[in-house]
Amino acid sequence: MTKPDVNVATQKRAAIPALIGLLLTLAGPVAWILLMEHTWLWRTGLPAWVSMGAGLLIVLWAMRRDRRWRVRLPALASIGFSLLFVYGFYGEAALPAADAFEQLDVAPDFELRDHTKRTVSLADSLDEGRVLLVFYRGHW
Amino acid sequence: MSCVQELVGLDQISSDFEDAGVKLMAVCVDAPSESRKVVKKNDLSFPILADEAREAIKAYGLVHAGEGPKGTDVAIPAHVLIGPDRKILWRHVSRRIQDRLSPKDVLEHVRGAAG
Repeated sequence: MTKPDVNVATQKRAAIPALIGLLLTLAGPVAWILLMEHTWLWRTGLPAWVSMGAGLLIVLWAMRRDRRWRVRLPALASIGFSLLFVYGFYGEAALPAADAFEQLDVAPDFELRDHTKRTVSLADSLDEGRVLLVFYRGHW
Repeated sequence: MSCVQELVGLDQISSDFEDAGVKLMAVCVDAPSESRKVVKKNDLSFPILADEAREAIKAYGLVHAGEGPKGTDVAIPAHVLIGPDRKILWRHVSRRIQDRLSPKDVLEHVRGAAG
C-alpha cells in the first residue's frame, strides 16, 4: 500500500496559532493594567511579560512552520507590539534622576496651601511629630 | 493610570501611620480645587498640598520638566520621612512611572526609620 499523497503545505498550517499568539501578546499589557493595584505586579510588569512571552513563542513557532502572510502578519504585529511595550516600559516611563533629592540632608521648609486653601507650614507640622511627604504627579 | 490609587492605599492604613506618630501629607502641582475633588471623592483623611508655583518640587529636587498639562512641570513621585529639625529620616524616589512602593512597604520603612 502506498502512502496517500499529502500536500506538505496543508499539514503545516499555523494561522490559528499565530492569531492566538497575537492575542496573548496584546492581552499581556491589558492584564498588567487591570492588575495595577497589586504594586509588585505593576512595578515588575510580570503579567505583561508572561503573557507576551507566551504569545511571542507561539508566533515564532507558527512563523517557522507556516510562511504564508496570514501567519507572518499577526506574527510581525505581535513582535512589533512587544517591542513597543518594552520601549514604553523602560524608555518612555523612565523618570529623570533625582540627584539633588538624594543628597538632601535637611528637608527644605515650605508653606503651601492644602486642598481647603489653608496654609500649611512644614516646620509647624513637625511640632506635632514626624511628617511623611508623598510627592505625586497629580490627578490628571 | 492614576497616581491617586497610591494615596487611597495609604489612606486605608492611615491609622497605622498615626500610631507610628507620623503625619501624612501629599504634595502635587494641582490647584487646591482639583485636589479637593480628589480628597472628597476618595474620602482621604490627610491633606493634599498644592505646589502650584513648583516651589517645593524645585527645593526638593523633584522636578519632572514639561511632563504636566500644557508642558508644565510636575513632581517626580517620591516619599520623604522628616523628623525633628527637618532631618530626613528616610526617602524613596521612583525611577520609572510604574515604580511604586506599596502602602505596606512605605509603612515598614517608616516604622524602621530611626527618630
